[in-house]
Amino acid sequence: MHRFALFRRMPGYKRREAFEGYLFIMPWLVGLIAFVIGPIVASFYLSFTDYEIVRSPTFVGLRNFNQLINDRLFWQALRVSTIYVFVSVPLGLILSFAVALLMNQNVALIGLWRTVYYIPTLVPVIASTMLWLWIFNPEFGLLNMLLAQIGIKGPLWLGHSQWALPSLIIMSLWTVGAPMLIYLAGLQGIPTDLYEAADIDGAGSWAKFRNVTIPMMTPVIFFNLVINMIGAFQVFVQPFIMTQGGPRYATLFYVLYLYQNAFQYFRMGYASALAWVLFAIILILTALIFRSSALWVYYEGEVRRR
Amino acid sequence: MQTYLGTRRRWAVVGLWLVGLLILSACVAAPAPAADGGSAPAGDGVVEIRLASYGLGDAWNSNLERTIDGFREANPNIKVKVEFRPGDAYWDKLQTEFAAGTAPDITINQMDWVIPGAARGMFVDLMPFIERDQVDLSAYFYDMAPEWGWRGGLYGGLLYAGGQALYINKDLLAAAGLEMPAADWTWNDMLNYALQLTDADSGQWGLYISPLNPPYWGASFIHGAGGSVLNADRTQCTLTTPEAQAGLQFISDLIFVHRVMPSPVTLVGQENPFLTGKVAMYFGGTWQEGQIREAGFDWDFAHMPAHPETGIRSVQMGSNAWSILSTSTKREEAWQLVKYLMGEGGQTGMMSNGIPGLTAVVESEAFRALHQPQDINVVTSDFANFGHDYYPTPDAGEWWNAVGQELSAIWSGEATVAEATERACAAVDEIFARRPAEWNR
Repeated sequence: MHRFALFRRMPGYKRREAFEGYLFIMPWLVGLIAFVIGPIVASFYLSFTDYEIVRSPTFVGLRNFNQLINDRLFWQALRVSTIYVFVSVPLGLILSFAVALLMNQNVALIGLWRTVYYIPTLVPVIASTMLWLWIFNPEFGLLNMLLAQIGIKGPLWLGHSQWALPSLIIMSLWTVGAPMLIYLAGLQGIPTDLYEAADIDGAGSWAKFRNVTIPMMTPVIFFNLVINMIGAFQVFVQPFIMTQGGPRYATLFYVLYLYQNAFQYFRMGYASALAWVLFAIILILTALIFRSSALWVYYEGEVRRR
Repeated sequence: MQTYLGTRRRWAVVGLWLVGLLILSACVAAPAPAADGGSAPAGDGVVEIRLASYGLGDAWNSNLERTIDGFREANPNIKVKVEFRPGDAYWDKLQTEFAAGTAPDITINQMDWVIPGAARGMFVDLMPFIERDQVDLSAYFYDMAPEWGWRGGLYGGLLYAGGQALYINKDLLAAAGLEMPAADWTWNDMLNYALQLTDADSGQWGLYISPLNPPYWGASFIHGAGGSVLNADRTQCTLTTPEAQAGLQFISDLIFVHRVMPSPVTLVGQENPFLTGKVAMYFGGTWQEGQIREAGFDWDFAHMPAHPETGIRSVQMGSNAWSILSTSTKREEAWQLVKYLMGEGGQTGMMSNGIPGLTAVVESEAFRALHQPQDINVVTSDFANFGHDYYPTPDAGEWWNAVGQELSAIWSGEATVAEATERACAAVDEIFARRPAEWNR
């Protein structure tokens, strides 16, 4: 039966109710179509064009995608973002989980501690980026001053091609407050009777952590992994402000290179192709994580098929 | 079966929507440049034009409004709406507005935007208007053509003649018993000064250069040594020539051999170290004069030093312009405003915030008085005699970035001048190889 035929056969009040429902969600729908679906579809078309923004696009078939293969900066940008994702995401997940475990203790002023660890997440990214520029300053920065206290001459950090990317990875740990909060909510949702049962079985702290806490937290770890992986692939502001992709393209993140092509080099068509390749990469990795979740994510009450 | 058919139908509907959207998106088209000539005035005979600029602070913004008031009074039939915008994404926004056909009639413009935009049809050629109205370009000490000229056209009308300036901290010189440098001083003299003015224990440096990578101030040392960044027709990188490498080596030696200048990579996050009062000589931008004036120590401008053997002195210039967008349907009115702004009224009105290009205004007592006790003539005469453009090309943004990326390895000590320039030229030539043939001028 056709959907509209069904609509016509509805009783009047239901039809009115449905109409009002659509009317109320219309601003969101219009926004979704105009500002999300429209640009997505447009960028798909533009990825097959030579488009300089200020001129009409010309259809060039797969030329942009072919060009990607021979573009050494594309591979460099992909390499930088991939290293960043594969290092900063696991580090962030482990650190935020560890902090969440600490913040889950029943100690004095715990509310204050939780606030302190979460506050960096609330600082606008531009402000925190400027702050970290100073922290990484080789001459006057806090980091090298601390290293000097223990007799180590600190590196040039953002000014050296070997240290620039590790610097941005270190900086990414500044915002572990957001996943920490989600972990904390997950930790507080673990039923205490599971720990009591483990106590009765004679389990120690490590055994309880390994056999109760971790399995019960796997859905939260899974969620944070997916969200943080996607976010890490989309990093832009930090390298844009701090390094402009340098030195020697050491911090040429994928989205920064995409932006440069789109707005600085007048290659919006090529940038659209870059965007769709990134979409495909994120889609594949997300699908792999989802597929793997059957092996390591435990949902309370689920029955596993063998 | 019914469910299967229903699913198929649903997918067909979704597919149709997507095809529709795809067709709509395929209709993306840059707006055709508006036809030449003036616009028909509205019923009341008043034509409104929009001028956009990035905001440069309250003082600058109100100064621009005041200056334009002079135009408004003289042209009651032209209503000017000034739009101040954030500077960060100004160029991005302008491009998208242009694509959408909603760009202003006039925009502020700068050296890395004019030619890239002009080569792609974003801006109106002002030369036919200039010739028609017999605007005397020889009245300007600053030659606009090298910076804003493209294929015989001119795509910017002067706002400011900006660029490189050498600031001297006179207090530090006095403490070291040194006089202000002579007008004919050389790189060797500068190095001697820097050696005497550097005091590692107190964190005092002889000199600093910022921004350093070509086409910025490093280029003036390349030129001084007899080299260049690109060849004359801007089709090939020439940083690997011995002369260009010698210019860069001189800077590298200032950092690593003579140790009179901090490496730029050690001052990450510090916009202008001259303001700390711990840098004796500073190669900066003319736009920094205002903040230096507030720094609280005695200072003045010095002439650019000459290379001791070639005798060449060179100053990098990168100025601001007003350009008319080719989407404007009110080109005649827009030109009238640009002509006013680049003329005596506009240049005098805006001279408190930058260096005008009209010789008569630059030489006026009123302009000099604004900069006293410092001698602004030092800067303007260097501009007039030794000014060099930023090598503007339609792909400037891309190759400037490539040069900066590769040469940064010199300043961090990761690469020699020879290695870095080899890589920079390889990257630049790779970019140039992708150029459409019509860009090679």
